[in-house]
Amino acid sequence: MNAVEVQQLCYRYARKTEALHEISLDVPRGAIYGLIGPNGAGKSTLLQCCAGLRYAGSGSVRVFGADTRKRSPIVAGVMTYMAEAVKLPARMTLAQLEAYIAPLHAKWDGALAASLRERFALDPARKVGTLSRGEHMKAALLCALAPHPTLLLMDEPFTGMDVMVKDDLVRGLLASATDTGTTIMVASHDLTELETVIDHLGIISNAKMVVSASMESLRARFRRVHVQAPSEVLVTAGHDTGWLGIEQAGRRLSFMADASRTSLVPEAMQLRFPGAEVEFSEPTLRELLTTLAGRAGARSPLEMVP
Amino acid sequence: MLTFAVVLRPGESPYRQVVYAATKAIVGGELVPGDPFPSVRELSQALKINPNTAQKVVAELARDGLIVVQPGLGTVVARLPKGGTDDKRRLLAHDVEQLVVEAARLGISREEIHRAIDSRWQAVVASTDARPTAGRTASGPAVSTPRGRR
Repeated sequence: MNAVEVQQLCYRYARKTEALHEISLDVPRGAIYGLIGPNGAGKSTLLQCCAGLRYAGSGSVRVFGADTRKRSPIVAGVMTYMAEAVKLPARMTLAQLEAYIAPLHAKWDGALAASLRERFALDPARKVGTLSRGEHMKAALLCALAPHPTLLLMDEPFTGMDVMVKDDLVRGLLASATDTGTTIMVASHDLTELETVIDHLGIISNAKMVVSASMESLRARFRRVHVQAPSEVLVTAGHDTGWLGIEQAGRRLSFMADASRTSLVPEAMQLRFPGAEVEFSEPTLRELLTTLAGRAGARSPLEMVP
Repeated sequence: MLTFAVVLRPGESPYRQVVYAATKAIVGGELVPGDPFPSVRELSQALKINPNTAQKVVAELARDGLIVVQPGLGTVVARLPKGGTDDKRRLLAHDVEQLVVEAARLGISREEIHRAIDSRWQAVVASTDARPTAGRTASGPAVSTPRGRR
């Protein structure tokens, strides 16, 4: 059973255009799933639907097999959710906040809370309102991890954080994923933080899911091809349906090749560009995002991505 | 924090990069047989990589016989076998052929390729060749890097 199963989810804010259109995705148990996409694509709405904070207009969201409409995953104690720019009660000390939250969770782990406090160098006697932004975020992560969630949803946890805070947050997440197998779904614009951490990727653009797959399968399927030709090359878009995001400047050409539609055998590329130097690299998240998200509105060959 | 150096770059799978770095550290003598090898948790934390990736790295290195996982005791660097088996030579033959084809295409002579291989061999592996089997007395660029010990 997957941690999260979303099927044909549509969501519409009152009298506005659709915020989510026929979204389907699976988050396997134990995965760290990165959700990326342009501003306004629908990432936050999708996370809120998964958290059971919004209900689908049509389609379904299941968390560990249970429809969120029938059983709220937060109330059931299997999930914690860190909202974007989360605000904790300013007048409480961290110790008071922990004491306040603990009884709300069946599996609140005081020892884990203490060890996270130490890891994040947080003083329990400090008032939450006096914490810096980074410390505030660490305190929020402490509150999200100490109840031992089976699933943790995070919306833009890294925004505005310095690199040291990001490192602490990421290491805290990884420790929790390693020690208790917590499934994590994180929406972020911070692609460099996600790059090595996630093992599943969802790209959402313009209310539609462009791709949702394991990083392993994406790395096998897409390759960035760099061609340095002996003379100027002319390639027009649509020349080969498996070539995406074509960039060219004089004798240099680079594009993303989709192995399910074009040959990625080096010899084949050498034949296509005689006398050229051809190099391959695995796509970065940034390259995947810019190449695939741009195509969502258009007649996208990627809409049938499994 | 880690006992060997890895600098992850985007554009190549973290899994392959870490396996390569660990393999290089072991054949290069930066890690010697019996040295503790980082756990899945340590690898994941130190490199900020997905725990499933770290798990795959450990499994791959263990399958290749470069490390030995001792349940309850931790993982240690294994003793490298003397002389490759036929299987391993056959595996390498493909890489050697690619190197020869690429060299011929670029007009690099046989002698130049030999020299290049010798010089890389010196840089990466030579310190282990020179080392007496008993101890870690060898010096060289690969071994002189500071490392944390438990």
